[in-house]
Amino acid sequence: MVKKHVAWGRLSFVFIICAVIGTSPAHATPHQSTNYRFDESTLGAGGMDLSSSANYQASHSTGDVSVGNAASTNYQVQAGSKTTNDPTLSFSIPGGSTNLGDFTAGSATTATASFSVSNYTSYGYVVQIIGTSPSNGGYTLTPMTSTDVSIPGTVQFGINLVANTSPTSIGANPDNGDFGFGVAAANYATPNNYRYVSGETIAMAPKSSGITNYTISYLVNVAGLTPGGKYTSNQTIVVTGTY
Amino acid sequence: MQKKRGILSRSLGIALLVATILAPLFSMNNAYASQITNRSLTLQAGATDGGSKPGGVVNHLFSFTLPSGTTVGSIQFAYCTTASGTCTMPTGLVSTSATLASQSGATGFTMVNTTNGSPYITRTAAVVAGAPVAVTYQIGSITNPTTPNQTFYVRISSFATTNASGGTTDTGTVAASTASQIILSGTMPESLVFCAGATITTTAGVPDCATATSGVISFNQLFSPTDTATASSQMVASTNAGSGYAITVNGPTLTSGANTVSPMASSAVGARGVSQFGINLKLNTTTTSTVPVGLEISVPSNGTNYRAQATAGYNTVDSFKFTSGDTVADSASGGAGGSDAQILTASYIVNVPGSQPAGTYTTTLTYICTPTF
Repeated sequence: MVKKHVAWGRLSFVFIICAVIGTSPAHATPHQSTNYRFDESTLGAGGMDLSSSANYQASHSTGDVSVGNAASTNYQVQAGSKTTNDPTLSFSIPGGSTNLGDFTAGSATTATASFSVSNYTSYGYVVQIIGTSPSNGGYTLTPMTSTDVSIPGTVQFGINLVANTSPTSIGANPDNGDFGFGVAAANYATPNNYRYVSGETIAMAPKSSGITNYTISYLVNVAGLTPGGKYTSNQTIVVTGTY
Repeated sequence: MQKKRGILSRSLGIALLVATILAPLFSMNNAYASQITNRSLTLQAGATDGGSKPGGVVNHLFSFTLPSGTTVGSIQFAYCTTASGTCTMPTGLVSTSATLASQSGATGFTMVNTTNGSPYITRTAAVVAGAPVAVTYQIGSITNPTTPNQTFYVRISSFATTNASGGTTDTGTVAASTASQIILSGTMPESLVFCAGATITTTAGVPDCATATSGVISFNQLFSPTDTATASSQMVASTNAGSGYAITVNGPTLTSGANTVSPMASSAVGARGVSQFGINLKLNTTTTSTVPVGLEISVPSNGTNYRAQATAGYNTVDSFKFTSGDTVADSASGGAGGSDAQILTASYIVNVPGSQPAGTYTTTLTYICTPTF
């Protein structure tokens, strides 16, 4: 009888342990108090991305033995302590005003503009360009709806996102720095070939990406009869990340 | 006593066993929101503004996948300056005019836009059945944040309730950014090439004003009541003016002191023995003169890049007219527009009666080409 009591007691203890373990799922929660909070904190060396209070915010790491990004077609690792579970996307266009100068039928006119994109914790992003071809109000330069080379004397308006040697040395390939994975879209990635279709994707990153600096090269060719006047166009760059 | 202890111990064991079995079931009721996956926000152009234009009135297209088995009565889109923590609405964002322009996947929603920065869509609560559902909701008439190149976040939350209240069912955050617009500009210089002279020829097939000869021309014969005296001059015109050009002739009729040759005020065939001074821009026949005078416009107009044409009164073979100030030609063949260089030949005729006073008759005619850009 005493043995039975002991057996029930042991069984109860096992159940208690099981119950405790079974009802404690491993949900990571931020370390926080009323006035302070640690996001993405981990045990061990370093490992904290954001710590903040109402008047203070810090981003820091210590003691990492490896930091960086390793990736293959199906695999990507971002090592180091600066990780966040929040989506991040930053986008900037310095300047914003690009003057092509005077057009002439005898030679092409070119100019560049730039923008940069970073988008972490995502499945990548796409960049679209939206806007009409330059117009003087009554006449619109013919956009290059098919990828083509520069043909002086023919009305053409096109762009690409790579380094070119024709009609002049202009543009640059996407600059990915250390952590970027941005690329020019196929239609806009052939040197010396230009194209412009409003709404098309001009660049993308197939995976989470650090900063990529893009350079847009603009090409304008006109005919002798291209109506005179100032031609303008407002181009909107739209970045869409998938999380 | 031992018996009582045994009963107590057994009861405790059974109670713990039941508690152990039931505890996980109760713990499953913890409200851990599932992650909305494959989510994105595309900033789409509005009626006039580009999708990412700061302060632009645009459309926001949300695409994401709702987990299955959850009840969805409303979905809220909270616009914030950060992805998590306290939500501060981005400066300038306006959502109180938002509309639900389109929906797919889980449908039947209508828009509630009363709270700026946190619009939600609502429907009669229903379970998302079967496999996870890919949905899209296009929110129209959202005014973007006004700060250029600003990242903003939209926290998407689904609720079982129809008014976006109570605990969230599923959540997910997307990031987007406004962007300064690229303002591209360039100038096509306005151009006009125009010249006149007795003759003008081409260089490498292109009419060349550098070849224009003196504008002093003489008629082919002395004036006579029995034959028509003729002469010609040439002009070259080219412009990139969007509305093309018009050429007028200006000046008096042929004059010798107080005597004149009557200008042909209306278009007519030349009549020998009558005082007439007229011009046209055609290749005329022997109906007009023994030796045909004039040439057609060269290069011939094609309605695209060659558009020159003689105008009414001056465009009929063997018919002539002269009124100072008249438009004798323009670049409206095939529609008014710019034109590459063409040579226009003006033919002059003089008929006189036998009583025409003797003398040397002269005039200075000025052709004016006016492009309209």
